Amino acid sequence: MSTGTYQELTSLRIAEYAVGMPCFICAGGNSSDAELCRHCHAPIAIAHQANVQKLRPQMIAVIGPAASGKTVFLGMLLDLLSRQLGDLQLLARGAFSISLQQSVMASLARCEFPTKTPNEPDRWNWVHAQVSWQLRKRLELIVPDMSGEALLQEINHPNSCPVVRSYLKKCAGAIVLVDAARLDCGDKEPDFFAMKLLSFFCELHAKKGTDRIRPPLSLVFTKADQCELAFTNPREFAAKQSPGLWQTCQQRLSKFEFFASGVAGACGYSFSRSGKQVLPLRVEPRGVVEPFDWLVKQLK
Amino acid sequence: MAFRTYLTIPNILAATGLGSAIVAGSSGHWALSGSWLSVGLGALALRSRDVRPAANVPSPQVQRISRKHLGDELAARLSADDEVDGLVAQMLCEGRFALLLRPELASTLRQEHLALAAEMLDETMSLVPAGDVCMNSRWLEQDNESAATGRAIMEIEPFFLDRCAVSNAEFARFVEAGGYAQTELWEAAIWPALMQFVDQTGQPAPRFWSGGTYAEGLADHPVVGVSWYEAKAYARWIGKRLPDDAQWVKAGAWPVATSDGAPQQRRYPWGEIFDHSLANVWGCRENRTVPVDEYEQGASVGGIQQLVGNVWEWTNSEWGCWEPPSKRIETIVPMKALRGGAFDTYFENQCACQFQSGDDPLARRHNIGFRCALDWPQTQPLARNQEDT
Repeated sequence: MSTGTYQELTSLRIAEYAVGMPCFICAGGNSSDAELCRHCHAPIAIAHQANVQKLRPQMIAVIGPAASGKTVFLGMLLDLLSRQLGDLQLLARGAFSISLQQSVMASLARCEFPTKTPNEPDRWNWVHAQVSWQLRKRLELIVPDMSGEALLQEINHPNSCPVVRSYLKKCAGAIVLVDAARLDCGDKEPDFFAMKLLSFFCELHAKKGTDRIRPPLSLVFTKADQCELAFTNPREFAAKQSPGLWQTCQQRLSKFEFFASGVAGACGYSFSRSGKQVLPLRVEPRGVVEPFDWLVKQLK
Repeated sequence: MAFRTYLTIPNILAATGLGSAIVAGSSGHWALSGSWLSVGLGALALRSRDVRPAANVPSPQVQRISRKHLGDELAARLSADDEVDGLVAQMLCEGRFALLLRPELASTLRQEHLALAAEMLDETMSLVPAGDVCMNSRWLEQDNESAATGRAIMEIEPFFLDRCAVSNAEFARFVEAGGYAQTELWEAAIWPALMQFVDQTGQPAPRFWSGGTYAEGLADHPVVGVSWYEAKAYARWIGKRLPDDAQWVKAGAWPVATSDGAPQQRRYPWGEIFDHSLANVWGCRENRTVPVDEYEQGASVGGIQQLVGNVWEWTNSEWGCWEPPSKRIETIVPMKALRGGAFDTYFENQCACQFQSGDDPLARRHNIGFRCALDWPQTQPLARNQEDT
């Protein structure tokens, strides 16, 4: 009996291996029982869900330099939308989609920011969710919490982190985060990095005969609680404090809008063995849903 | 809205369990209840109906005066011809009754004036009795910090605290009276910054006002967009002060002494469990401020409203003052302590009585307001007035 069962399972497994499971992000071949894509490290669960539920999810990227607040923005956005307080509602698909929200909320409730997202793509949190609004309109979305350093690495050294390129190429839109607090202090680094990101994104989506790319982009000044001008008038703030980004948007994008967001009301610093750590003194999200709301309504 | 009077001895004793302590007469509690009793008796003496001239005693129904028109109603009882009456009436209309209670001024006033000031005190402020309050470090719960380093027990003298946060209408009186131009109300160090304390149109006023006044329909909403210095100047103008951090917690957590020494305190003014129907925090309403007298059911034991939610409240203390030195959190500028959470506070634990936040004293945020406190000794002229009567 046991011998017979063993042979049956083995044959089933061989049959399963014969039918490859293409990764939803990079389309690379994988065995059906793989957890992560062996080419780009994206979760194969996304491909399984798409197959089983006959869905073709769209992809949205949340990109920005390291420490621009991508993880907090995304985690807070998921938590806000899952409460369905406004027009938009978000429903996570798959247990893995809740991990990011869970870890970010746990950190913020303790008045800490989440730990830095690892550079290795196999350790990123991915979110697959259904977004609905106005009762009938629905959209399947995939959003990973990408590391800012991995992004920069791929921009500077192409194919060093292939998942970044594969993912951004497939994106229907993006939310670009820029550190408003640093810009307000006269630091030009966030401006340069945002220009780099936009150029990279435009390069991936370039079409013959036009300079402007079609995917809509929300440009979000994060940590705006520390510089109120960004909240008052994000466009004016962009033109004044981030002229490079402002010009790039005018010249290369066909659909874009500036926003400002903040999660911490005020921040402090603690010094430990691991160095300087920024701590939120309270959590009061502002302007987190608006950029996403605008973006998903631009998607067809 | 009509205010209930909470300053009766039975109320205070019942709320704190001291009634049974007095009956039992245990030595440990006698000392405490002795001071409480004196506070309670003083409070009783302050009750307006006890000091009001017999001819003017209104029915209980008449006593329920709207907070908005309280000063006007009280001032209307005074003669318009008498110069002192006129001055007292003006002070009452502006809500500056606390100045009338100062010994140097009180000695020149008639009993009738003091009675009106006492009535206003009784209607607008709550007595917070003397006693110990436990102040916790933010690390106490999450890092299992030992109680020895993560907790301080502070002894608080009795004081009065505003039942409601200062509203736009109340702050407007300060603006109209030229409060921003009266340098004696402001610390000398802040004079250079006074020119920056302007509204959307450049008038001296809270940040989100326009043309020196608040937006229509927001008269009863808490004033926001005021720095710590503006809050302090207002408090000085009105004859009060900002509460200390420990005093604020004492008013909200309403500690009760226990046999092991550490007082037993409430997590929220109404109890241990957060209830979204009792406070205006994130997700409760439309993510904006509400009138200062709403959420009456969420009041503290002492009858102080909206200690939790609606707006953060400036206190007179430094932020981080309860943290152990080894775990101090640095800030770019020394911050002042905030308490209570606001309409956009996301986590329930961050609007608990023990949670302290902070901000730059020059910050003029959309969700920070304040309320004022009054020292118990400042009300002594009322007690003397009662004795004379």
